[in-house]
Amino acid sequence: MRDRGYSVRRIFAAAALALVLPCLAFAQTPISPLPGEMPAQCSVPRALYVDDTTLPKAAKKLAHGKLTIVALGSSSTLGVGASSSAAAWPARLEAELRRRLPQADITVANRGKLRDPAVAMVKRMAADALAAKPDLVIWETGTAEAVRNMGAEHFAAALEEGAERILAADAELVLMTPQFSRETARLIGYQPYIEVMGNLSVRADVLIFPRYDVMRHLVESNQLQLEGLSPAQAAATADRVYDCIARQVARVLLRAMAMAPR
Amino acid sequence: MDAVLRPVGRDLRLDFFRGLGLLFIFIDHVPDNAFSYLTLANFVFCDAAEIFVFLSGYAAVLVFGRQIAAEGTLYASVQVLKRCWTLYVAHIFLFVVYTAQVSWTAQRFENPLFVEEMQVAAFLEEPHVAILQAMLLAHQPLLMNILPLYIVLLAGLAFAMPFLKQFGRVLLVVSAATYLAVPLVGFNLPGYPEGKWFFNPFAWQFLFVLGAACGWRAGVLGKPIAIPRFAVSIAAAFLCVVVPVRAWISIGYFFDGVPPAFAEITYLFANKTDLGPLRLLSFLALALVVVRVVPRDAGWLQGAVARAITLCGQNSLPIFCIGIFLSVAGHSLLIELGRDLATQAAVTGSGCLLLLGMARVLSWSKTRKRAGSARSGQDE
Repeated sequence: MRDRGYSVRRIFAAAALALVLPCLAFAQTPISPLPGEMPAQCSVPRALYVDDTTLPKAAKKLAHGKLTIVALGSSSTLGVGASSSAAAWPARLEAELRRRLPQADITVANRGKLRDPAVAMVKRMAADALAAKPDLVIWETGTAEAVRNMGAEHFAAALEEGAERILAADAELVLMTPQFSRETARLIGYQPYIEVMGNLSVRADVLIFPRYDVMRHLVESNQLQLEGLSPAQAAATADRVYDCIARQVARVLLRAMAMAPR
Repeated sequence: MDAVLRPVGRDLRLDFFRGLGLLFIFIDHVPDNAFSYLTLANFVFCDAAEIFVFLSGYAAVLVFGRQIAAEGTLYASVQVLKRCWTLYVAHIFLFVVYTAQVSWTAQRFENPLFVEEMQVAAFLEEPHVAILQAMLLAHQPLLMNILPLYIVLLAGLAFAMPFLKQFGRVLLVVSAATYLAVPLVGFNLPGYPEGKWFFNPFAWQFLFVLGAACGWRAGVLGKPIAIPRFAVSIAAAFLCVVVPVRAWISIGYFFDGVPPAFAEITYLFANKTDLGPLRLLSFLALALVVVRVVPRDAGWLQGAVARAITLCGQNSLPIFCIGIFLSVAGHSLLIELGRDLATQAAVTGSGCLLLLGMARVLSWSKTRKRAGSARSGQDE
């Protein structure tokens, strides 16, 4: 009896171990993403993503099955021109991350506000973005400044202050540069502002998503046509651009999390 | 043994380096142009803007200061103001071209994805304000930020003319004090629709006045400017440190090789709007070393390439304006044709050749005019 009891206990123990061990392992190894598939006309070479900053905190949170992202930005984050708010890039990013990481609980909150410059975003940052205790803030900015010629040094000061606040709130930071089109690039002096964002992303804890370069590549490789569109075509294009940006952001985030030291 | 600037005839180095500065300004103002990595800005903390402003001060006093002696102060002041007017008209012309481009795009480019970006055309909705702001030099889109500085500096010179002779030193002290006060008080002229002037005239005037002071002493009074040997040595030592550091920042940008704190500090002290001290020191060191290394009668200044560049410097206003047009056109071409290195080389090369060619034509037309009329008008 004793022996049998022992072996029953052993079987229970083994069963318990068999149940618990994978859970433990699950808690410590990251959730491996399903392969990403890019839709047609959203192909961007790896060489465009030069920033090799990693996202260790986000990777850790994801390993525990939960990731909270806040998208802080202006019109193009809000989703101006999209057919619905579900077509804006933050919503598409959430869908893409959930598709690729079905085991994890991932949210991407949209905190875009029309024509908001960085200074205004820094002001609303605490209540609007950091109150949600995000693991990651994707900060899309620079457009309002470049359009209104507000001054790169002024922008740099606001960007630095905002970055400090986000990092101090224990969130990781991804900067997103303005959009590109041939028509607007001819009229707006983006370079100093993009340079300011590039300078900040030299920091080891700031990752940059070069949306300007990504869209420029799509336009130059004839994957994206932005001029001479009918209103219906233009609306469809907006949805397609937001979706493509979201997939590329997902790609960059997953890589930055996968590369994170453990 | 001291290096000496001797005032005999016109110093060709002045025109050569101003011409070189103008070529750099053209190249640097074509965004995404790999060849801009070969210009001054990537080796020291200053760029062609400093060369241009300093040498413009030098050249302006050289020409208009001599007119004080020959024709009187009032005449000289009026000549400066006439030059100012020409620059002002050139600026307004650039504004008209820019406005045409914006309104053309605003009418044709209706893409809801770029609603925020097309706010760049918002000024068209309030033409009564926008035109006034352009005339007040506050509206400085794209590359329209250097001419306003030049205009304000020359206008200042016109009013300083009567005081150059007796109160030159006082002017220099006032100028230096204003420059030093800028970071403390933070004054600048307002921009439109927002922001401030890209080139803060209260800071940049110092470089112009420094150039003017050198021009006055060496060019007008005919006194040599003695540069102590140790000053040249210090300048050379400074450059020996600065050049590798600046090149390292430029190259390191591509592979996160520069400590961010270091990059931030240099960025702080090399502030372009307020002519940060690192920029001023870089330029002064460079000027001292160049004056020492390149003698006035250097043989290579007579070479074909150097002469072509010198002609650019001798026609600085038209070449500067054409350069701005070419930069905008070059950027448009790179946007349309793609940015591979061959296209960049073609755009940069043909732009430089056009500038050199234009300078040659302008000089030719000037000598023809001079041969025809008795009075000779030397370019400032």
